[in-house]
Amino acid sequence: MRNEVFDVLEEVIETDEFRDDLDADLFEETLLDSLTAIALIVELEDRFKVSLPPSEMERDEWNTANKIADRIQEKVNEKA
Amino acid sequence: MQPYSTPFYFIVLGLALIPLIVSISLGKKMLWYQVLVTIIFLGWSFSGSVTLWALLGYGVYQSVLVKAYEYYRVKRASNNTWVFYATVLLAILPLVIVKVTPTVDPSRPNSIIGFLGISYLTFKVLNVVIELRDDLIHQVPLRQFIYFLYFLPTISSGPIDRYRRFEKEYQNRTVENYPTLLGHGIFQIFLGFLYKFIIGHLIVTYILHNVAITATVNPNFLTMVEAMYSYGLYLFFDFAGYSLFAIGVSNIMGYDIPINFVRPFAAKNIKDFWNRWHITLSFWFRDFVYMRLVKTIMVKRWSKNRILISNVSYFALFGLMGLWHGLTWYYIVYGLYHAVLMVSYDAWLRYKRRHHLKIADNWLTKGLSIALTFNAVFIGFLIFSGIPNFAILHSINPSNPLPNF
Repeated sequence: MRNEVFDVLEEVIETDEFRDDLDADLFEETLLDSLTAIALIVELEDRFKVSLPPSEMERDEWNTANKIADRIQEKVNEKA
Repeated sequence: MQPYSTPFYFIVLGLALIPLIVSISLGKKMLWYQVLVTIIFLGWSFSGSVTLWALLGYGVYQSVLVKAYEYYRVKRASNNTWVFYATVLLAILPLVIVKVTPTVDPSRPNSIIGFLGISYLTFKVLNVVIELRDDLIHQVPLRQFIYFLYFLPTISSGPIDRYRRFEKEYQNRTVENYPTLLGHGIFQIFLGFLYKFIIGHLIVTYILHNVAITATVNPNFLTMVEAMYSYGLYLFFDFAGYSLFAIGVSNIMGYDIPINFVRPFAAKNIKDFWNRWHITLSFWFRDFVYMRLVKTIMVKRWSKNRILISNVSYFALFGLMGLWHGLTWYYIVYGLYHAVLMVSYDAWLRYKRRHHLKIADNWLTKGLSIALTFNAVFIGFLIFSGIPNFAILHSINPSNPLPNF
């Protein structure tokens, strides 16, 4: 599950740099911005069949690869 | 009496807040007293004019709308897109009427349903409607909504708070770290005095007033540059000072509302600038216009070109932000100008990435980017000031009115 999320992330931002440090701030590293963050949300919604409203995605809860995976896990569990 | 406009207002407000300070310090928030202060001060600010009725009518109208949408969305658990759009349109309708009135009937520019702060309240209502739709807000208790809407310190010009943030503080039984918050609040108010009543006042009285008239009567490069810097600095000190008052008073009342300005003139690029200037407004547009529009376009697959999607959304964001200031050509141009700056900056970033351009990060490059951003932003302020518009009108007919800052 976590790896699937990371695969989606890699597809969207077109680099695997983030895998070196899964706790690095993706916005600070300029790997994510408002635009790619939405592209990621759309892709994740589609892949995991969950709903991720943009205004729920507070930057500080959504800024590292690990946190993103945690949130998706939570959302999938909520649904089940 | 406009909020925060005179020392007298602060003295009366300060006295009214003393019982609240004591009570919060003792662990009681005294919500009834907060409401009483709000009613008295709103009455004082708006009484003797039709705007008091406009203010109250607006609250009734939006409460009915929000409660109806809450019923539809939560109780009925329905989620039709067109119902959502209709609700958003109805929520914006009063603001649209108020903004369009001066264009339709210039002899009576003030709509009877208008009041100081209507545009800021509209942002709050839309925040609630959109997040009800997104399933982030599950209930909107009426009293809580009304207090959020009419929250006294921010009513006339923001900062624009968010419902879910406000709700947490509203529902807490006590105020966390109140001594720190209180001290912070008092400091903000005094900093606001320095900004608005000293620096802003000096700029407008001794510089901007004359410079704006000179630039109108005798427009050339030099007079416009003078007008540009003095107006931009005045705008900052006046508005940032005002925001500091609103934040300070909120702090004293036990609310830690979001800040509006973080050293905007130290911004290194235009994106950085919008993370520092009128933050609650730009973040509102980022979250509720830009990001949602980008998402809609992506989900509906209207385009796969991310650059195009982003640029279109920037124009929507800044175009709307311009329109929101008012239906005049120079506000709209101001918005579009910033959209162009954002699109160009993104293009520059892509260019740097594609050519693996590494620009040294030292005091010189940093200084240059700050200076470049500063001047780009000030050109925007000049458009926004309306001074070029005065100059154009004056050159057409010298009996047209002169600016009076």
